[in-house]
Amino acid sequence: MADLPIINAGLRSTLIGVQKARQLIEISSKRLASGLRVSSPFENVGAYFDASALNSRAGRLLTIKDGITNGAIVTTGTVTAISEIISVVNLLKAAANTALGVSTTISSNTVTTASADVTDTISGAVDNDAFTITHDGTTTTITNTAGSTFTTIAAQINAVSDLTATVSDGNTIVITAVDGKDITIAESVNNLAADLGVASSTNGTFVSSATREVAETNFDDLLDQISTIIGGSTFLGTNLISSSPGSLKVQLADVSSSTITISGVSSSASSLGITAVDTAGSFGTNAGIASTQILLDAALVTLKQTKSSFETNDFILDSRSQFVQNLVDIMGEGATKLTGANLDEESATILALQTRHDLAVVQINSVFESEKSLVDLLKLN
Amino acid sequence: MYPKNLINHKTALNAYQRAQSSVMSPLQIEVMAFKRAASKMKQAAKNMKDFIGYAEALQFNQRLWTLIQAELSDQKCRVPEPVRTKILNLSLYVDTQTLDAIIQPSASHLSSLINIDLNLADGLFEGR
Repeated sequence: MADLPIINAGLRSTLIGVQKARQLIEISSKRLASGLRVSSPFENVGAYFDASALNSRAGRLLTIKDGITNGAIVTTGTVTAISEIISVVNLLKAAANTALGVSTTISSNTVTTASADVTDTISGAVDNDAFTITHDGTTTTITNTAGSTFTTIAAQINAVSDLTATVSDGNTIVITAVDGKDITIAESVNNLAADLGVASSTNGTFVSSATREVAETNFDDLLDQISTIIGGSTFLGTNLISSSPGSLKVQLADVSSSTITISGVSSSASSLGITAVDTAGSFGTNAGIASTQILLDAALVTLKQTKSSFETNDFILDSRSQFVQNLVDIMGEGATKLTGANLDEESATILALQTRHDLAVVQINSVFESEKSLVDLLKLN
Repeated sequence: MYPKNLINHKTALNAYQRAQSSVMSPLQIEVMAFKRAASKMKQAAKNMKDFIGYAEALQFNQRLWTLIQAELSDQKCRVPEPVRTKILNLSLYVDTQTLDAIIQPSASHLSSLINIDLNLADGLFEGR
């Protein structure tokens, strides 16, 4: 401990930590030398440098910094990946919206009547019987006036925007909503709807729409990109967003109690509740598109929460001053009055210029006592 | 098939680097380390899409500065005051700036780190 004289109570308590850590690194070094795999925090540093050439101070500093830096790399990389997934989900929403905007024809939402001659008056109905059709928020009353026939009733329905009604001898009345939206039938005066044999319909199905099919294909292609992004989101061996997410333990100081664990959150398409649409033909109906949009909105909320939990990097910001203090403690007496952690960019630049000048004047042979660890670093990079 | 001695180029490279290090003066190795760190960060600044490359450049620089930190905070260190304290102050700036750079990746975070490394390399070179 000759290199760390006891000068005050703070340093004395630090010294106890130093001794503990030195024991640790010595054990680690022995294990490395004997080829045994070690799980101590020094393993990473030991793998990088020839442990025997690294003094304990360097080992401890490297261990703390590698822990925090690695934690920051993994969480920052993960945040970037989640941002990419959010972009993809927004594109998925755009694909769904594209499908929704398409004007197309549907064959269902069909209301049928009993077979009858189109010019017959309607059996069972008396004058002024009526029913209502509600479609797209508008309710229209269809009335059996004196002398009404199937043909004139159909004409009244045809007058409603986006609705068509067809009738032919021996067939049924077919009511079609060209926009695929619900048709709701309700009795108004007596039972005209029942006399006609019509009932509400909510299951509109598109016969075909090239644009919607393309939108479905685009949607599924985009959806695949989420798994591609997740596959590429392994940082330093840890993937925090895969379907079986890993977790990351970060050592904030060189006492084993000072650790935090960052748990992963699966952000795969299935975890987000987003499913493929092409095979299922989910964009066949406006209702199908709407339910996909609801799932996408929910997925965005989840992703933003996950992102924010990693993004804040709370563990680093909260422990930043402690981080610097840990470094200063390890550096020992010579570092107690250092202010470098509070330098801004401009002051650092000025200090670097002064240092350059000083170095040129003092003409030192080298900064390092031994170049061994420096050569180790350069060899591996 | 290639002769065995040609296949193992990695070993040959290491041997070459060992030889290179042994003929370089300690100061030359230190100048090279600072220049290597600066050049890695310059490359990273040009390709910000490669986050891992960016992080690796920062981590290399941080490891270099950690070795310096450990060396200069040793009582046996021969670097005289006040340059020793100045370099240690710069080392703490490197630590906090490195964390900031990783948390919020931006090429602008690298410029002061590159600048510091090049100034130290130049100072060491000029003082040889």
